[in-house]
Amino acid sequence: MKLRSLIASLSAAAAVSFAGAAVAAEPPEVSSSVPEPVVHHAPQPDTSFGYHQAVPRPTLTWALLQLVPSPEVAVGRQRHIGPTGNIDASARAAFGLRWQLTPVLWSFGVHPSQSRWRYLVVDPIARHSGSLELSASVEYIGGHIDSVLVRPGLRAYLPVAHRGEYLSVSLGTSVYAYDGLRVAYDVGAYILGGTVGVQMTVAPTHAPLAAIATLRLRYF
Amino acid sequence: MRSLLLLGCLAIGLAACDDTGASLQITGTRAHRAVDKRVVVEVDLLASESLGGNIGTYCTRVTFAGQAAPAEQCSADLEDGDTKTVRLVSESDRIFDGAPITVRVRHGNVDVGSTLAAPR
Repeated sequence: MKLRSLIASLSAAAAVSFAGAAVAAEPPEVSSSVPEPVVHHAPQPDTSFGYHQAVPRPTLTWALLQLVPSPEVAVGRQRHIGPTGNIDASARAAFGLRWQLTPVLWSFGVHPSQSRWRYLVVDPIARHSGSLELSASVEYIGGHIDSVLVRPGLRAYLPVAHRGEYLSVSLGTSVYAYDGLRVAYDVGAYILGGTVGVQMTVAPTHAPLAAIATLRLRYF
Repeated sequence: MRSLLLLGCLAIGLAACDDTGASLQITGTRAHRAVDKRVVVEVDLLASESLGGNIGTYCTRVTFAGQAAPAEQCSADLEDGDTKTVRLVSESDRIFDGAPITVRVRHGNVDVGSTLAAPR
């Protein structure tokens, strides 16, 4: 009991001494002449969420780039029957150049927030990440063909590796006029973001232009 | 826009199926005299058939002025893309210099032709 009463009295004494010290440490009253600090209220940041629609438009640079042709080699057979009945059925090859244009493309590989449609100018990722395009190409083939061919067509691009940036393939069909209307089919494989590729165009029912191998060079 | 794309595909498909015809055209004609003074006419032909097949029967006829019956040759040996040189010779050696020679090529309902002069 004595110990408890001793502890209680010591506690009370300590409390009184701390209270006195607190009273002594109180700051002096501030004079009313000191100005209030100026506070600038900044507007709240924009927290809305939007997307920039990256739909490229034709430019002069783009137009000049379209003039770069894709070289190609056409292989076919044109049988010749001579006046004495001798037959020459050897296969022939001819060099050519091809220019390509995409009037409209629908991409199913771009992010859903982006527009899926492209007109004339097509960013490589939109084309090679998976797309369907209406294509048009103009080509000149020399040698035994010696003709300018215009090919409207339809082509699908499918990504194979890294959403088509490393490797993509295509399947397509086109029509062209050469002694009547002809049909051709093409397959292709593309690397380096679609800028370089190999396209093989086959016309099963047109012997003089049976196969065309094109080194496709294309950017946008 | 999607319907426009489908319409384009349909148009290409229809265009591809539209033309299945065969045709034959004359790409060149030449005439010269043989050693026996008869006139030799060579006719260059180019065949086309949209589906890549045989064009069927065709006849090449050359009419020489001063000769009663024309020289004619019929064949069915041409396929799509083939070229052929047909050689026909006059029966007579009395075809005058500069006399008209008429070349006709008949294929189906189509009859194409050209004219040249007999050589010296």
